[in-house]
Amino acid sequence: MDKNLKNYLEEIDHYLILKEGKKEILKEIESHILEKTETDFGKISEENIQKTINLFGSAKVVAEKYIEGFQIISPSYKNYLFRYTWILFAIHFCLKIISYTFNLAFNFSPFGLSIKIKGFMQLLFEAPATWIYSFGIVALILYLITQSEKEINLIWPQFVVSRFKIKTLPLNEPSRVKIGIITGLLVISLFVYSKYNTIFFMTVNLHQTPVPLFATAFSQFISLLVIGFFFFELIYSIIPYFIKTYWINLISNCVYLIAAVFLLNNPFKEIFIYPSLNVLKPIGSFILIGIIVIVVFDFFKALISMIRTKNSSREKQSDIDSK
Amino acid sequence: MSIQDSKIEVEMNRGFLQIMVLLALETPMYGYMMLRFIEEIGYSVEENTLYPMLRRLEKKGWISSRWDVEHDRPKKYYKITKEGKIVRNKLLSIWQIQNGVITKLLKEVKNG
Repeated sequence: MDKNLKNYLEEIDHYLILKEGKKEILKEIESHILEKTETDFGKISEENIQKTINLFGSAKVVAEKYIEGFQIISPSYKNYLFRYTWILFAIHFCLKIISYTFNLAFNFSPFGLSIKIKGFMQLLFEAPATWIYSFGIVALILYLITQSEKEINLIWPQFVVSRFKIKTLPLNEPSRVKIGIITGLLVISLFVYSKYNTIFFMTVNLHQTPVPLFATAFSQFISLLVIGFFFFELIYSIIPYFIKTYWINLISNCVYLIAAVFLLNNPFKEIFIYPSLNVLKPIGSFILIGIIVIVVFDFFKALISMIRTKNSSREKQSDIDSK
Repeated sequence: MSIQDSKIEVEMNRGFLQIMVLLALETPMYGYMMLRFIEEIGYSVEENTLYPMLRRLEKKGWISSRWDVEHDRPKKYYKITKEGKIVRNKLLSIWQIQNGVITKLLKEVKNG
């Protein structure tokens, strides 16, 4: 066989993603090129074959025409790709948070998945990898469904959303009062911290030095954390002046969640200045777990609100387009 | 012809080519033979369009094929199937309805 023709057919073969019939297609193209060369140019030569190949089109274009309509993931499933990824990511990451908080290990042996988080930084760094893992799993499932060519109606927890009547969250409106209060709290707490190295006290007597509530290391840590929260809340309250988006809610919930989990699993040996106050520890843990539950619920509310808003704006856009 | 124009032509051609091929294949033909036949009747099809379309029609069961290896060069002959004839008639009636609608619309446009 002519060298150019052989290379051309090999290139088409490379681009053709077909389960069957590849050999036949290549044989038919070969036969066509040879006959056309003979008819059009009278003689089969390397140069003439190349001319016919040029007329037939590039190998990539030819292959694409054969696989026209082939889809890796059906367009109708594309929305599900990200929706399911976020759901799977939420479940997966929650398990990692639980593993870290309660020092537990999860083994899903059929999937070769093992979850054991030992440190806070490990938990943080695993977030992007967890998202990619979830994306990969969902993409693989949707790929297999698409390739099965069966009509499968995928479920979307719309029914959950409507059953529990989750209301769409209003977008944050900037509030001068809120900004004023938070600024005041931030200034006061910074002033108190600079003077006493803590903002938590057991007794406050203006005539004597106040007695701190917590042991020195924990006291400094929790005070800085609260000051950090005031600062974060201030930014969170100012941002709506510039942009209104549910992303702010999602990010702030994530920050609160991480902080609450970190506190729940805090590395400090001594918390209270008086060991007798350690009886209050379980109450603290109980409150933190409550906060985690509320924050997770709020996170999903914000997520649902964001999806709803996007969907309704998409519908409005398509209405405008159709008009 | 602009890219946009050629895209419109591709869309228009898709259905038209199917009807044309299903009509032409009343007589068994192989790819190159069909290209020349189409050229003879005053139309032209790109070869890299015709072959993939023949494969799709065969997959749908509207045409069948057989390899002729008796000559020095193997040739794949195509022929319309029974199912293909039914589809062809349906496509033709749709095309006639659409043609009628367009003709009416054109008249209305001309009459202003």
